[in-house]
Amino acid sequence: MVNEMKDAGEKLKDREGAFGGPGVVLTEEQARSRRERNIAIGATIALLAVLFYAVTIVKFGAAIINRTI
Amino acid sequence: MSDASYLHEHQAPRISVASPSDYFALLKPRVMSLVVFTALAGLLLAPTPPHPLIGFASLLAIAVGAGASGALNMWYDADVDALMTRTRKRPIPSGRLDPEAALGFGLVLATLSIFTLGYVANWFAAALLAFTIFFYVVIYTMWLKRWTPLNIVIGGAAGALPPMVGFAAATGEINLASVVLFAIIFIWTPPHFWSLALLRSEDYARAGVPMLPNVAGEDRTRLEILIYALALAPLGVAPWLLGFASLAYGIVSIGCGVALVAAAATVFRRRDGEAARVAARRMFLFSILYLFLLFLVLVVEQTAHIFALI
Repeated sequence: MVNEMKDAGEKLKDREGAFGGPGVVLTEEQARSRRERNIAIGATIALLAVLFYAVTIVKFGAAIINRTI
Repeated sequence: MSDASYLHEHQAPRISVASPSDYFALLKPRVMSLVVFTALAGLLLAPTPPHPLIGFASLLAIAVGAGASGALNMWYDADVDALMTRTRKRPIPSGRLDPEAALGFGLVLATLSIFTLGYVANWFAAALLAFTIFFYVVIYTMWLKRWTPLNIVIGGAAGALPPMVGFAAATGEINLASVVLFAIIFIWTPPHFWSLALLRSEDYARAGVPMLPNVAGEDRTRLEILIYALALAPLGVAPWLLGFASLAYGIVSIGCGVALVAAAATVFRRRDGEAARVAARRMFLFSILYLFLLFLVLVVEQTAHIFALI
């Protein structure tokens, strides 16, 4: 395991610009589809959070403000 | 994928190029819309309608559950889909999406939909939705579809369950009305798909799917379509006869039932050439209209009833 990590590190060192360079470079198509997927995932999770929040309030009804202080 | 592929100098990173629309296509949106529509009819049959937000969230969960079933079906059937003209452009056979991504997507959505329905409605409805997904994916897709020409006769139960799930989401139980709606879709399914199978029998033969025209012959299929249409026509009138739909529904269902039997009779009579294909296509398209009209009348009159209560 340690040797494998060393090998991976050596490969990174050998690679020109591995740390100062561009890093992972996506094709235009990859970048566009990833951005679209990110937006879709973000919007879906946000809507889900709002939906669960609203449903919880509806299910509690007026009792939601009835709590001990 | 090993880490080495990321480290190789000249190799592009293996990042998917699938778009959100590819994932959406996995959900079988047209099937999903029919599921939502029939589940809405079941939900509106409840004596006391749920809060609109609870109703909306329940339908959303049912829709996502149906979509998850579609995604898992496309994952399992990717090999068959690649051989059929009708399905070869789907995201997996066309290479736009990895099968593993579709499997993960389907499993996550199935789990999410079941637990969401359990939370927003009740756990009986959630259990029924879980059973629906299980029936479609395991019983129909994995077992029946490639094994027996009765695949859609039995497997049709999965597509017929949404009205019961909708009613259960609103009430926590099932009643005779929701069972009647189940029965209508259950009996409607075989003649609908056999009409399509008459048009696509070469497709199904190439893929090795034992549809009735390929196994029992086209004449036998035409007879079965007529028998099922004759059974469906009176069953479609049952909601009016049993008193949970109005006279307007009764009139529409009788008219549509007569037209359905007439279309099936035409399929039975015209057995050769282009006339036979036209008859099968008309039967397929009219069967969609038949189910849509029946449930549309139910939804409209139940909605009007609820507004009258308010």
